[in-house]
Amino acid sequence: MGAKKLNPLEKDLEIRVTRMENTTTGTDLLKLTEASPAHRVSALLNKGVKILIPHGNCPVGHFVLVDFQIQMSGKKFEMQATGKVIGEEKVDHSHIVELEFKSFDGKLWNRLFAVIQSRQDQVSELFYKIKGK
Amino acid sequence: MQKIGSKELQKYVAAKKVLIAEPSVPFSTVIQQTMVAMGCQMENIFKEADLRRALHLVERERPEIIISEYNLGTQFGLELAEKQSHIHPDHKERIFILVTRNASDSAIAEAAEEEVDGYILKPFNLNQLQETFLEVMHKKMNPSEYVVKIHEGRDLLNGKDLKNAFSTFTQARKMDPKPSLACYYQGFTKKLDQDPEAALKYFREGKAFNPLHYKCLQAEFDILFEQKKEQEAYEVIKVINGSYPVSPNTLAKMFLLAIYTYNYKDIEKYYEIFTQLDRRSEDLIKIVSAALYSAGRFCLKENDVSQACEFFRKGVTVAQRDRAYLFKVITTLLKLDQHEEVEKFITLFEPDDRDSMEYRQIEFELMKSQAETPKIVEKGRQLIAEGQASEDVFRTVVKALIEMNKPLMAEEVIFKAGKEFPEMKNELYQIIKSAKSA
Repeated sequence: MGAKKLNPLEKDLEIRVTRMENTTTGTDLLKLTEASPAHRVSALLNKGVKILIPHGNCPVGHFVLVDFQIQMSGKKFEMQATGKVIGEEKVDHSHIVELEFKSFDGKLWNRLFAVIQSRQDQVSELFYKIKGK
Repeated sequence: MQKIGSKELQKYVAAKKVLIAEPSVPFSTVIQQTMVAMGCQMENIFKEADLRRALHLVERERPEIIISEYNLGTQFGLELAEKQSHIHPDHKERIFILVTRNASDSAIAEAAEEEVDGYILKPFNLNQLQETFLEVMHKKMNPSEYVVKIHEGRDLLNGKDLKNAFSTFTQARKMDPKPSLACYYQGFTKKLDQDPEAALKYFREGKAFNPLHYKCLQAEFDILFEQKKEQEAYEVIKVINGSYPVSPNTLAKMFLLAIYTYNYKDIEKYYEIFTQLDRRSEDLIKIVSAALYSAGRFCLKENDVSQACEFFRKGVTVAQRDRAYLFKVITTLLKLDQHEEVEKFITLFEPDDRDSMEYRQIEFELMKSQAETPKIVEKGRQLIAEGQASEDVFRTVVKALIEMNKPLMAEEVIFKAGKEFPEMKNELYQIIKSAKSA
């Protein structure tokens, strides 16, 4: 069997953060970073994200409100989530925090997860088929 | 930080140096965290955001593990894989993983053809990233007997020991029920040993185990292509194209074969693939533009001017409005008196090229069909005086002067033509002689 080429609709997938606020302190965490790549999510977790915060403080235990813009399967979606910081690590001059969602659109998040999984599966299949055994 | 992977893996990774070539801090940080969780020492992890610095680091630190983005600015992370394979020729000693936003089929195919061990798409979920890293590392640490044997053969091949390499691949064949890759390497060894027929036989044996084995298909195609068995090669490439994305290298050959086998209609399809490529080398651009020109000429022979011009227009775009290319296209159309189309193509010359010899010669050619004889002579003599006249300009001016009954001026022009195009002299004098005798 040959390998399937990647579904064109699944090629463009983007998840961005358009707003992020530390609701415990009332600080806007993205205020000065409109053009910064920092508004990209670092990694997705089952019910949360890892995200780089270039400015401001966001210690473990604080609550954060995040607005996401998701582009998948040729459509755009928006999702607001609130989460608790459960991990924090300083990196160079900024820090990565791990957010555990407390309220979010579970259906949309699961769909996003499924698309991410599906495209990685397709890519891996194609990649290893070409490598051959 | 929670550790991931077995103790064996932690030990394997602990002594390795790692380069993360990634322009985005959020991603490079998570990758770094993952590597640390797998057992890498923080001081052994280096991060670079651009290719030049990353290449420099590969030379200086000799990292065994490289995790790179496909696109590093305007350059490509795959160059790091090539560099790494020179520094660590033993493939067991090196790991290269692409973690990239690039989901194009051609990028995946290209990476799979290179020394790349894994391909992860961004954005990723953390589990996926960890699992893929673990899988790649696990494969490196615990290869199957079959894989070990193949690698052993490849090492012998690198050492140019063809005889023992071949016998090692023969042993590998017995270790797997579908040993297409071993067959491929048997064929590859024969190919290096200048025995293309035997090579072809082994590639086809590999295909017998797996009819769509990519490497065997590619290798069979390459041999047929080299042997100038164009039609057979073209059949193989159609199978590859039907099942796999096409890499830039293969695409170049597909264009050439379509021309050699007169499958001009396929050029259109391949052009679509070309437009979607991430990387277009100078060589590929030359091949594609030349193929589009040939396809256009073929259509002209079939009297399909509209399709011909469509090919020419694409060719001009691919050649980035190259002056010489445009000149070639327009000259071809002029020969068939397609003045209307020529008028369209002439607008494609870049403003800077409008003083060029080619542009002015085309203007002259167009004028020939529209202006009165004295005007043609005036324009032609201007080109001659400025050293921008072609043979055809000289010919036209001499004929026009004879028509205007100005033989002395014609002789003057022939004298100048003799300096620039000595071989024309007799031909031009013949024009005068014929006029006199008439």
